[in-house]
Amino acid sequence: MQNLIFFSDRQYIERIRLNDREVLGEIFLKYQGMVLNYVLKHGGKETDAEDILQEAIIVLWQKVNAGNFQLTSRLGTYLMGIAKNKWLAQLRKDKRLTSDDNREDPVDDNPSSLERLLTDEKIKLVRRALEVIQPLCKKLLMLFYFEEKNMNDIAKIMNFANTDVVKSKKYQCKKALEEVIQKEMVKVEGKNL
Amino acid sequence: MNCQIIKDNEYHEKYLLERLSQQELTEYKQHLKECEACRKELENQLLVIGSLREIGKKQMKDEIRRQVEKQKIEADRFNWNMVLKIAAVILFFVITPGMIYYYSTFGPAVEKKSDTAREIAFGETSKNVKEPSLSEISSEKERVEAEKGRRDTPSEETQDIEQETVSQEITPKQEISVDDKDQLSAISKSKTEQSLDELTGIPASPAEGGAPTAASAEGWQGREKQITPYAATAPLKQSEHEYERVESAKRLDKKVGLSRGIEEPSQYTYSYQSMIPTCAEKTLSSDKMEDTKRESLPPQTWLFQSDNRQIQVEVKLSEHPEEEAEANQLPGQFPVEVLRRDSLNLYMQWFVNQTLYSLNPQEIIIQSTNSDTLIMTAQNKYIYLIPLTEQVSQASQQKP
Repeated sequence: MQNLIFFSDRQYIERIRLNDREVLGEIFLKYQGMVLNYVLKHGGKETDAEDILQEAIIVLWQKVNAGNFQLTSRLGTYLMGIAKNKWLAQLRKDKRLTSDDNREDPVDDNPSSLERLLTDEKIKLVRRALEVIQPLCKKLLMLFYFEEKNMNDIAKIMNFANTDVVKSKKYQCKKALEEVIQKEMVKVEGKNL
Repeated sequence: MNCQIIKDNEYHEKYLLERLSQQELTEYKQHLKECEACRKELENQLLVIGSLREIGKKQMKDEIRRQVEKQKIEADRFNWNMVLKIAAVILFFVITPGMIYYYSTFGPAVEKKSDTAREIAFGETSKNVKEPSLSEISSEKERVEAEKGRRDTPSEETQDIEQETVSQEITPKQEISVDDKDQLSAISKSKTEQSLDELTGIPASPAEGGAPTAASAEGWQGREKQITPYAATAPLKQSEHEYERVESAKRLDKKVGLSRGIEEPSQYTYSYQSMIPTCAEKTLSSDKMEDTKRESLPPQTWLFQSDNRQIQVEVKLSEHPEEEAEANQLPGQFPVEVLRRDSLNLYMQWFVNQTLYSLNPQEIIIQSTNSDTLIMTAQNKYIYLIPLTEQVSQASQQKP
């Protein structure tokens, strides 16, 4: 299964910049064993290792697309560092939950940490709202807010004329989403009343 | 920093995406402490952006899983391709030694070796004989002459006879009549006797000065044993006339089927195909001929026999067609299997579809044999040595 042709670290980074999404699976397969070994040694399961590695790859994807990313170590070392931080945060969280410790939730220093501030209900609400707005808006918002692509890349990916169009379209889409969310929240509050 | 600046510059968004500089971050946080509306707006932005990121993360995790599954499937295909490649490599290493063996056994180098062996055996040198190449000969007649020259390189005395022979043009697909066949048979028999006499120096009959032995009383079959192998170098002049006629007819007959598997034997068998019906008619009884169709198949088993002794030789046949241009070039070597080894005879017989055919000794002449080697001359005047010491042997061509 592991007989895939692996690329160099630079090639992986370049492919991420070019929005080659197949690189996601390739990186996973390449570093799967390394992360699995670590997680299993530190009290985790295979599913935990897969989840941790997936999140590490997502962080890599976001960092590279955010611009000014410089890989100062080997890609495996970088990913392993993210995976270790995430796994230790996960262990602390689990430990806090089991011991009813009221200490502050440990937050790792990557952008995805803010999602933890949201409840599942709110996330579901936004998900429903995303299904209401135009698919183009949904894609654009995901590219900008989740994948953290810059305006130039978004313009290329979505075939917009220039970055001004992207900015304008992003503003409109965000407004549309907020309006739908507001309506959804009113609906939810009305039901609760 | 005020609310308008924060709104115009999307500070909430930049804060959530960690894109504020240190100075901007400090000012922004300071403003948040003082501005209730901005904190409320930040919460709204957190809901939208945070949810988008969470949803995006789940979607990307699913995408990673899909990619992994897809690439695992591709990896399986990749492994299968690798298996095929490895199999191809193994096959190559099996076939290559086979080809090397083939060319080392039947290739041109072996033919050269055979020539060298003949020179050693017969004390001849072919260096002084200049043979015309096929590329230099354009017309069919010239090619016939060249082929003839290549086969036997006759002496000056025999060249006159050859020129007469060549001058007798035979039209394509012309069949030899029954009278011609009888005549040819009689001539060939007498010529064979004469040629053997020339080879051995022993007269054909007591009237010619030969010793009246029991063998001579029985005809030419019995005398053949007395011929020494070295006499085979002498040309068979009197048999050339008939040979040339048959050979010319054969060349012009486009229906002649050729076969090739082991290269040399197929060429060897070709040279007899046109003659098979003629010879069969002469030697088989009438009732057998009715049952026997004129097969174009080459002889498979040859039986050299005398009164009470015989040598049965099987020629290895092939299956693939041969180029007609190469057909007249008889092989340097071909494999034979000695089935029985009792003695020598001038009659040559073979089985086609379980029917025994005999060949006129003029067309293939057994010149001599010693205890270990059978020496025979084919129509092309090439002499073949067939070692009889082993069951499976190889006939080697010796140029006259």
